[in-house]
Amino acid sequence: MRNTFRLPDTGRIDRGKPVSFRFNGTQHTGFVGDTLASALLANGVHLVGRSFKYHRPRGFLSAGAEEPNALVTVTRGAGRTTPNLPATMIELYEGLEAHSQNHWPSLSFDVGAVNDLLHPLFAAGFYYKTFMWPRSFWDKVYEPFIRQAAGLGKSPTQRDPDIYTSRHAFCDVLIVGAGAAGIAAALAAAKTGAQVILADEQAKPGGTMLKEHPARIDGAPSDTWLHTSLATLREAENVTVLERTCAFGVYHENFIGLRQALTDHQADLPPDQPRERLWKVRAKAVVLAQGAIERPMSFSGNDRPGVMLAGAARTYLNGHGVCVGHRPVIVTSNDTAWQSAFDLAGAGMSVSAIVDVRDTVAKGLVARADRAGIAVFTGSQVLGTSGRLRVSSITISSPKHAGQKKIACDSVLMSAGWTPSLHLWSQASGAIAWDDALQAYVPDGGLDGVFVAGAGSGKFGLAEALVSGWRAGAHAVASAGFELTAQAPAFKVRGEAISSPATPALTHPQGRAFVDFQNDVTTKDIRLAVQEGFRSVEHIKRYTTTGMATDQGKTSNINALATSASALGVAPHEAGLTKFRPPYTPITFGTLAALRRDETFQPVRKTPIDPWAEDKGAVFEPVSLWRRARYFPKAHETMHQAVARECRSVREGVGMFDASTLGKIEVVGPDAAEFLNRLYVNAWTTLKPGRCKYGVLLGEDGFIRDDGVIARIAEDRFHVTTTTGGAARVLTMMEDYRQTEWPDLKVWLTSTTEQWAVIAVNGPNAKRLIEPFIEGIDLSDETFRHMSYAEGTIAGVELRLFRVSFTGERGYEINVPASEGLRIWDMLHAAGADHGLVVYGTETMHVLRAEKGYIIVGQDTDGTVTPQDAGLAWAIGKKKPDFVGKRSLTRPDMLLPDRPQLVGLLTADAGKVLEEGAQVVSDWSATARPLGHVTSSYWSEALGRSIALALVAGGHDAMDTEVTVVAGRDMASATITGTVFYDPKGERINA
Amino acid sequence: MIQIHCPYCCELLPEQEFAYAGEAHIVRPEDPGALSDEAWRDYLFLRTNARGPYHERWRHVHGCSRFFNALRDTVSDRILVTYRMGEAPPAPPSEEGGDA
Amino acid sequence: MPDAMRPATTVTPLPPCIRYSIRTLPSGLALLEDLFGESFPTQVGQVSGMPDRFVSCLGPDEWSFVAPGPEKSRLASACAELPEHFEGSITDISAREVGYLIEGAEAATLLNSGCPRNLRGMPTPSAARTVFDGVAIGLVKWQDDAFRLDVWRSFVPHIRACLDLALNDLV
Repeated sequence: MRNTFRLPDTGRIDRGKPVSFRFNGTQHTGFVGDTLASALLANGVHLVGRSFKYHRPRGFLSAGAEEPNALVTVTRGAGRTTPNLPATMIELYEGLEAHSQNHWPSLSFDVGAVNDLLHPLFAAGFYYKTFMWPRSFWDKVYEPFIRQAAGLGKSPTQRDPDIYTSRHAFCDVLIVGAGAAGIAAALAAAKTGAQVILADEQAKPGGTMLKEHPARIDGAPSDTWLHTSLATLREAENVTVLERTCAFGVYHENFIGLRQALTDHQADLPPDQPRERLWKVRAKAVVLAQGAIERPMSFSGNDRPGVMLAGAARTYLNGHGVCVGHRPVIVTSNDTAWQSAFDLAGAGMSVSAIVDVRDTVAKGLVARADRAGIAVFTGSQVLGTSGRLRVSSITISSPKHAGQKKIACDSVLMSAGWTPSLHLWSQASGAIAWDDALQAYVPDGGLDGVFVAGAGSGKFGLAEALVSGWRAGAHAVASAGFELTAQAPAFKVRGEAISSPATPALTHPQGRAFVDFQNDVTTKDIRLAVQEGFRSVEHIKRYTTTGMATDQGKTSNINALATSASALGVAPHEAGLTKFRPPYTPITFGTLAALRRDETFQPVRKTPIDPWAEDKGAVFEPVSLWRRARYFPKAHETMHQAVARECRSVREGVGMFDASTLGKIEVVGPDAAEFLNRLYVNAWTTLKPGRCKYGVLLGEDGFIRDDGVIARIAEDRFHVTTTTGGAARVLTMMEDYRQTEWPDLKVWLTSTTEQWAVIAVNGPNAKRLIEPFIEGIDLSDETFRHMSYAEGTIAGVELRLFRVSFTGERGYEINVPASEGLRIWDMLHAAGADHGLVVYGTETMHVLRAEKGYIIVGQDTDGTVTPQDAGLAWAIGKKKPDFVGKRSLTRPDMLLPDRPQLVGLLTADAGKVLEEGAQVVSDWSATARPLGHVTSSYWSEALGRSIALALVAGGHDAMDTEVTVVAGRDMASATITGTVFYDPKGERINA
Repeated sequence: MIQIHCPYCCELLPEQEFAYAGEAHIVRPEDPGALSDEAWRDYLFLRTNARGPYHERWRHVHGCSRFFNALRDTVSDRILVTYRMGEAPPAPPSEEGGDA
Repeated sequence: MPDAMRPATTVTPLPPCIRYSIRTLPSGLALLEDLFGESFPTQVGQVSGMPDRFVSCLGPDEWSFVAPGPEKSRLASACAELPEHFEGSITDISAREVGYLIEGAEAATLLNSGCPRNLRGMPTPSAARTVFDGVAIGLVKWQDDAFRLDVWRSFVPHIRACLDLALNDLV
């Protein structure tokens, strides 16, 4: 067990529990409580990745979620490959297997590093400038090249075996961040009995308290306070503490997305347990206690492995007992990094120097440094660093040394101040203001139901965190309607770390100082963008890609802003800040999809007869959310053969069809007939009970919306059918008119689509098939003629029987309660053998209706077709003064003679089946006129030739005209005909 | 996801239960046949599409099934008030807050 | 209570029952109360009756009546004798939906896997038509740990599969 850089007795890891893991195939050991980053650092591994564009060697910049450099791929068996995970956020577990990314052939020798030598070529806007010409190169050369070169980790290629879940949750107060501020807020809010959720992205709550030497809070060690407070919260019935849970987005009205990682940290994955859980939380009030993120210094060579944030070094030391180097140099512009120097010196490291850009520093700090034997350089700038795969020296300008000084070191710990995390505040539409002392934006003013505490509000230090946290918790719970009577604890803090991040305006070095480490954006790139004319920070961001990597610029945004502002010659607050957008940290597709995957991807509606069709090997097709049996192939039959057989059998014998998906609406009330009269084009008041009629429904714009047969069951009760896809839409439209235009009508609507299973029986033997089972209805053609309706029983089951036909053959539609549908279907099917029964699907239904010229709304109409266009003017009740859409039918455009009108097309070559959607043109010449398109096209088995329906300009007056039909390179000539191809006299309806 | 107060259920409920239903207070003419082509066109197609407070209709489709009216600020996407069909529309809040 | 001791949350299909969708004007309520022997609450969400026979108010003029299956013929003949002057609609939707009982300490959490309503905060007893993963559902909350869920028949495979997946999340 090497752990050369692990210190005795320091840190908050469990030394009794060693954990072995592999990085790039090499076995290492860490401890429970380590992150992959801290465990690698304990073993002296600093080089962990190659940068995105220049393939520069990179190490750890941070110790948290803001990490831009140390992205690794974790693999744990088939399908469980996750790229681009920050090593700083990966909890160590036994057997963890991680790999670095973006290099070839190896991490220490990477051919792609040649890009770094060519860096002048890869400046801001490189892609826009380079890959412009010749245009023909884009598809074949540039795009494949860019796709090959771009990207960090590789996507997994296998199916993800994990499950993901989501849930809606509701609380009075949601607290984001369980550091001192968040915990204090939770303690306050919880005291009132309010429902509280406390979420923290880390494995252990505690925030900065886990990264510092223990202080004392109200007389007790801060670790004890933390332990006690968390125990109190966990025991409280009204508090939910969520670890490993990142609040990734704030949406309208305190709707917050949380992503909870459930199993990734476990060595043995529990079977059937979700990997991640998406919480969709609606909170009455929110406390944001996210803390602040330290900023890197901009200097040439600030990206070498071994150069990291000063606070991160302190986290590794105090949190994990790891020293990031034996000879660190501190480079800073504020007091907080001095604490890192003192902590490291206190742990026995030989701190080579503190380099502070400020000319004067508090005397106390300098004295403390002197006592620790640390050289101090004030008023100094960093000029550069050296070292190939790890920093080995730093060169500074020093007024004291009249010029430059080179200092040998094995790590550089930098701090250019702290940026309050405004991400969620800003997403919630909170205003921000520039704080000159912090050189950062802070929350400005208030927001309904959102409260900020601790470093995230620009208030630094443990005492401030506790006090502002409690206060925010109290305000939040009050805004959620609870009264907090408990007094705030004194929160007397002793021995806390240096917490003054006041920072002078940032300096702007020449050379290649990295601003965005992950996207390899330097200060030079930003200046170039400004030089090339970009003025808005949003544009500079997109042109240089700064802040656009997976870390979303957590460490880079303020530095990029300062550099932009300096180049633009304005103050930072005048340059503005780019917009914060969710997610705060990357989130897996699995979490977002949650339950919506595989069979639960979306609802697939199934009819009561669906199991029968599935059992018989039906081929299904989706129709809106339904799946419907399209055809029933026998062994070795093609679709064409199956459909031809089904068509033949219906016209010669009898066919059975599952029409259960038809929309059904029961329209009831004394004004039911009047209501339908006002809605549909047809006349309904004269329809007698026991009869039905084909109805056409328009929008107010006069275009066909839906159609279907409507039966009058009684004076005050109608059974309306709609198209399968139109059921919900028609009911909505009906409710709209009923509730808002004609609230005086006494009529009520109930969807009965799923109350009734519908079996359509069509063909010359239809009556013979069903008659033996039916009681209470006289089926003779005299009493039960075409378009009749009656109620009775079939095999003892309640029956609503329609005499209707969508095939042109004698037809009946048997409606039975859905729960009985399959039984009745089975019974009729068993009896069918004697009558030449075939079961047919939607494809045959389409062919048979097209042979008769019956339209399908949505296929032969497209929302711009009037009843006249569709040849349905006959359905319009001529004496009606008004119905929905009537006024539009006489608008000037509706009367134009060259409107697209529905006609039949017969191809010159009878065997040629046109493509649906094919264009109809006048002829094939330079002066050809476009006329319309084919809407339906099939092989008609009954006619032994192809048939088609088409919308053709002025088609009704162009019978027998020859036209050309074009689909891609395919061309055919056809003749315009009427729409009824089969049995034009309609004799088969009674055959 | 916004929350919507259904004036029939008298409860603040999640947006998923509701459906948008276009601008409010557009009444179907009593006798469309008497309207000129232009007047009918305006009824059919012309909408205010306001920036800011906007009277619009919603339907509690996965709830009480009722259409109702709302005043929604199209800039902040907040529903300021909801009211039942047939009730008089509340005036949009004045810009400067100034009756003075 | 330790998790291991909590009774598991379960999803159980309910036996077929009679369901009527009832619509009327306030003037029709007295007649209906006589006919069905239940009081008809007038605030949306209110329920009267017992889990196997109840009336819930789903909208300002809409009620759902549920009764045990064996009452079918008695109820049908009672409806047939409604007086001419009754202004309203009674529509049999017994076969339209399938009912489930969701029972257990985490019943609300389970339903909240797909339903965006605050089900823990929903009063007992009360009823609501709401939505689960985009699908309309009916809920009656009888107790904090007992919900009745009704869903249109064709959506049953989807809703069942979603609930079964979400059950994994309660362990």
